[in-house]
Amino acid sequence: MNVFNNLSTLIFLPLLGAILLLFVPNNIRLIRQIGLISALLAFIHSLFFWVRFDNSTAHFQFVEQMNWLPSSNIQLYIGIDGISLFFILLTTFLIPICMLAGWSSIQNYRREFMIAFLVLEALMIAVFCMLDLLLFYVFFESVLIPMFLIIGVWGSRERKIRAAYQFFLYTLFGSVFMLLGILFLFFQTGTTDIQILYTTEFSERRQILLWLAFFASFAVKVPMVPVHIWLPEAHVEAPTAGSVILAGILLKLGTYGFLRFSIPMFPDATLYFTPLIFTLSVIAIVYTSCTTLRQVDLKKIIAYSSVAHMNFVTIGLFSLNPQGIEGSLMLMLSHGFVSSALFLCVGVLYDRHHTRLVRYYGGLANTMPVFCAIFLFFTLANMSLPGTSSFVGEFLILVGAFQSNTFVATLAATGMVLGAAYSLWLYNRVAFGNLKPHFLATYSDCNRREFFMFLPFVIVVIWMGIYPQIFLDTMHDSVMHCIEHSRI
Amino acid sequence: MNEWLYESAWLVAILPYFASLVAGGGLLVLRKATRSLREWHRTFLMGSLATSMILSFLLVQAQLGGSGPYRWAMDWIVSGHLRLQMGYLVDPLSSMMLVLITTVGLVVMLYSHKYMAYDQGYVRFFVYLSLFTASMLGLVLSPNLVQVYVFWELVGMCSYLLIGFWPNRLGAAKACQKAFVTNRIGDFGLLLGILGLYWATGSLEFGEIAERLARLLASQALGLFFPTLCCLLLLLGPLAKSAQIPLHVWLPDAMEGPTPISALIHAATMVAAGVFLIARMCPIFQQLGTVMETMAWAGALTSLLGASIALTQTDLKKGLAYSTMSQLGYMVMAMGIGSYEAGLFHLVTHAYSKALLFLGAGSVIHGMEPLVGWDPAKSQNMLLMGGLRRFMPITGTTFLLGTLSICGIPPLACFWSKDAILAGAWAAHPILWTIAWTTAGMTGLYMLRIYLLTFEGRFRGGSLLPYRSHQKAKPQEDGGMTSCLLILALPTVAIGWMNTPWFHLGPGPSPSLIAFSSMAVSSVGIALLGGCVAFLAYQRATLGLSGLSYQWPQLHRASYNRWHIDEIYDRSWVRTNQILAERASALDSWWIDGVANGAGLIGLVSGQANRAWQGGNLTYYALSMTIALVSLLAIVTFSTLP
Repeated sequence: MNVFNNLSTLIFLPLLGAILLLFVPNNIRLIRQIGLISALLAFIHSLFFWVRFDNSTAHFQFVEQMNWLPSSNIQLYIGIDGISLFFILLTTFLIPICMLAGWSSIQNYRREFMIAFLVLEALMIAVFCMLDLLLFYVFFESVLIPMFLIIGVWGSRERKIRAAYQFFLYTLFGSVFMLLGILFLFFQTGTTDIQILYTTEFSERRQILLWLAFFASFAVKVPMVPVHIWLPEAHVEAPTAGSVILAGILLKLGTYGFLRFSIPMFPDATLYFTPLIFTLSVIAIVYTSCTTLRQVDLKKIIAYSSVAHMNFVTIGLFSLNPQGIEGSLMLMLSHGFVSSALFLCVGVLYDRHHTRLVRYYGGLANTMPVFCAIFLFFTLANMSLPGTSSFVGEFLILVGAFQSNTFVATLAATGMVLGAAYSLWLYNRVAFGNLKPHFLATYSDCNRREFFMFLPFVIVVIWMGIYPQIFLDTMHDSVMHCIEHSRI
Repeated sequence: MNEWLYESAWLVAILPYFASLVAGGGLLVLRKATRSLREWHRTFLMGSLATSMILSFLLVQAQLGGSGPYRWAMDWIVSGHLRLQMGYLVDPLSSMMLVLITTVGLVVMLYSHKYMAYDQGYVRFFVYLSLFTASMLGLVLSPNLVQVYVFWELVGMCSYLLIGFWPNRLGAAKACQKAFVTNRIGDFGLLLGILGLYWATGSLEFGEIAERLARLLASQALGLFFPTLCCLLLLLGPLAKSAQIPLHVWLPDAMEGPTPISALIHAATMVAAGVFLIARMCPIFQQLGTVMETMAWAGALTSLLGASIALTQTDLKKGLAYSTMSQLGYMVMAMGIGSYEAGLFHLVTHAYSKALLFLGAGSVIHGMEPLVGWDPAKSQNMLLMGGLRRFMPITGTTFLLGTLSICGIPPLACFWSKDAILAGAWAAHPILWTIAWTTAGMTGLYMLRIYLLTFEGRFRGGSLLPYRSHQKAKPQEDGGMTSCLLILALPTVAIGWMNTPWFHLGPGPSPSLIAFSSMAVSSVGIALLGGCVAFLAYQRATLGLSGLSYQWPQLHRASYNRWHIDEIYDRSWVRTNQILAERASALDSWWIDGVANGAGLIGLVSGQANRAWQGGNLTYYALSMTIALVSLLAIVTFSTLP
């Protein structure tokens, strides 16, 4: 029984599924079922951690320790707190749905598809519970490998190879600097255990250099302007399930990194660079929102709106007060659900009509009413309508940002207006107007699999929008802990 | 009794929510079953709203009985020192709004049963209606600004859904987007205003903010500038919702939605939400003179602008929409000059009268559609109507009642309230009064013009009838719809009597008789004058108003084209934004290719450059070794520095 209380079990569970998949006969039903069941088991298992989570402490929980490189004093050290718990839950929540998204649309290498997602799941859970900087880096980078394959193998067009390269190179380019920073830290302090590093003080000049090294890596992941351009490319070329993971989890690695490392470890540098972050984020919000208005590709629209939302998150993080950071966490989670669901919506359309260009669509409200209701719900959630999860996040972020920099909050709030403009523009183009029968000959509404794929999203988004306190309570102590660190 | 009643006041908003969620969920999951059980669903949704209505009446009775305001709230979001609460506040203002919303909502539902009878989205329509009513009830019950904001957006969403109810109409798709985005600009201001006030005072409760603000201003801890700025931003919200200058452009376009919606949302309730919020915020606004003045002038100008545009509209519903805008201007002006009672009074009287007018217009459109075609450009075109009172006597008579009420003819409802506003304006500022008074005259002119063009004279639509055999066909009214008109005619006549010099309901002094009669004579006089002009021009045709428009075609065209404000917005804001978007996306795609090509170029160049170094030339090798050594040394020395 004790083994179920271990985070390492959670990491190995999907891996076990992946290994099992290697040896089963080539029966597609069996392969799918094994994949889905192991992902669902991981999800159920991850829920146990939330149930057993102790809200009243900011310390890391479910801690496990193992010697990894004893000669260099590097240990495999895992544990979670109120911040990382939800990212793990988000990961385990999204993976089964990704499998459902690829249920019938993935036609080749089906076994490998399932394996890729299970491996990806294990790696992502590992990233979020690593408490050792070097190992964090290892898993942070290793996530790229399955993702690169997912885009490259199951992507849709010829351009996918280029997009996959771009994705890989951009993120790798940033990470090199982080590796240098980590090595520097290691040679300075002799350890990469982040709990020790939290309590170590560095001189301001070092902090600035280190902060910049970490920033280079995280900023690409968030992504911040001007290194955001890999994202729309990667999204457009990735299969639906890949887009879901990309938007749902990989983007959060950047903001998670800021919150886990940059802010508590380098408090002086964080204060020093806050104006930079605010400037870049505000530019990104306005700039990408404007760009979104001119896109013709369904996926690009959602990808650009993701950039805008993620930069909202960075504003909240660097406002360095509880409202801002908790709001950011809420918005990250919310964005993980909402934009994933929007990508799934695009996937539903793409599966039927094999085009993502907006101009071929129109009048779907008549032929696909259920789909349009779902699409509308997530469109409204994307523009942070009250009652949905995004509103809670954006409102808290604005409260936080208003206290730390009124001007930035005002500019960021313009994103609200632009967000409404592009979201509604997209929905209206797809759902309203007349049908275009010479482009789209056949119609079918959501089938049962698709409906139940969306249902969990709807429930979670409304739940977080109406009763967010249960999430906030869990993250509160960890966030306060983080803020106290940054005030030292 | 009262205790129990107040404790269950939350049911007023929750019941219709619950009903709409059940029916809406059914529509999504069990589509066929839900649609075939449409009668059952309608009864269910109407029943829940009727229960809310009964509760509202009980609440208003308790409030009039003198029990004080009742407030209940629970924590919704707690984060650091921030505590957001959800709850409800029952006081005279909110209980009055509850009654207004539930009664109009119920009548509109009753009416829609007939109006939407042949529509495919019958159940969906009722679900949206119920959802809207519930959100509106939640809005008026809000005890704090955050809850106001939440429901403020939700009613905006319902308005979006209902304007775009018929997805095939391209106009509707454009209109609902315009409505939502324009309102979002208002919400943007509202949100910033809320945040600013929270930042300044540390509270989100109406009463607390006012108190703390007064203390801060008195102790000079806070200058006038910041709270004024916040309140002006906050004011953007009500201005957008209540279609005031400069954010009024969405309301006429919103007429693309089904007519019952125009009656409920875009005449009676949602557009009045702005006025309601201003009334709630009055203790705060009153401390800031600039805000009050801005409000007064925005309202006065809107009332004049709306009236001047309504003069030339040919679309029945658009004419009424501009009239609504103008009347809302009256209310906002009343708020700005501090006569809250008068403004709220006008809100109530206008709501019933305008709902009656819109439902009457719906009846007319319903009658016209089989004759001239299901095209709003024809079925709502007043130039194709005329003489309809002969075919639709009840619609015609009740429409006339509504028209006279809006014109301010005694003893109908709007007379009493408009008079109170004019009296307030007289006391506040002579120019404001002049504007309001002129508008009253124009109101008489355009309202009677609408009535005369629609219901009097000879039927002009015959020439357009598609088939010869139809030329004998006449527009007909539906019994189910006219019964709703009759119901609404009652408050249109009588609701004004609750606040007259002789009888007064609720708190505050009743208006004095002398001031009242002098105002009454002047306002009724100018309204009658406007009415007479309309009568002579459109009934008798002795007064050539058309000659007037020939003489000054620019003026006519400007009024018909809404003073070109929409075009100016299109050319300035929308166009700027489009150009910005174009540039941004061009930059983005240039950047994507630029980086890829740049990387390739660097590879090429560095390859070429490196070739020279790898050629076996010993000097180069020696040089590179030296460089490497020096840099290594530099790194070592650098990293051992403290």
